[in-house]
Amino acid sequence: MSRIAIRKMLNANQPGIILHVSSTGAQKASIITPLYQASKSAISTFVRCMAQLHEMGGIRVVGVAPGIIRSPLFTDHPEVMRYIDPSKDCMLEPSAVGRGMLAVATDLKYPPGTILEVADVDDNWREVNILNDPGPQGKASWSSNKNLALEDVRKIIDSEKGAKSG
Amino acid sequence: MAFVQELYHAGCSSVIVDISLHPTATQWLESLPKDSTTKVHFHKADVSDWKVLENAFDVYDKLIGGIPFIVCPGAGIYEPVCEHATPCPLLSPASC
Repeated sequence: MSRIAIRKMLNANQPGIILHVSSTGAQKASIITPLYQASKSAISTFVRCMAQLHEMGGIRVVGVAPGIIRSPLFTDHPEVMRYIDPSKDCMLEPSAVGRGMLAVATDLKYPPGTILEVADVDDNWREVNILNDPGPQGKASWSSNKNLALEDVRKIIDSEKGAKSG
Repeated sequence: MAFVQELYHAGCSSVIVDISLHPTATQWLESLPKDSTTKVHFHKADVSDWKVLENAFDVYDKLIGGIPFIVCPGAGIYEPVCEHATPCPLLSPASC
């Protein structure tokens, strides 16, 4: 999608913005969601790699990194919703991410290549740095019960031990 | 969807390209005034297909005109879910 958009914008001599959706999961690691976190890390790195596209072609590539959001990804999936402890954990509304996306896309105080973390209340956003970053900082960065699924992963591993291939 | 809503309230028209809409999104789209100059279109398409993605820009040109100023490749990513209804890619694809 980015490749197509870049070509179209350049061909038309038109400036543009490409806005990606990463996650605070890009800054963490869990055996429960390795494909998700690897994919989100790839998105964050891709955005940072494309920072110079602004100077070269007038296209601003940025990204947003939401924390725990009350989106259908959680609310339509009880097996994921159980990771949240409502008494302890904080979830942000999707609208908070919408505001962060508009900000990182259009507010020029965020340089090209910025990943903006949207994981705290009151639109307290944070730029995620490639080096020496403290990790997710907002109140909606962590879910207390995700490790419930560790037991399931362990069962799968154990069930495959000693299995003959083919 | 939240981003499209932000854009809409800022007076920007959008085309949403996806395989389907969440019911809450459909509901919001249907609630929008038809006579507004700010438009939100839904274009049903399989975004895993390169040619379909390229075509989405033609669809934008036809519906709104020109090339979009903001492109958001926001396709969802999630872990495959296994028989225990728990995300567990270690089981896929053979046993899932």
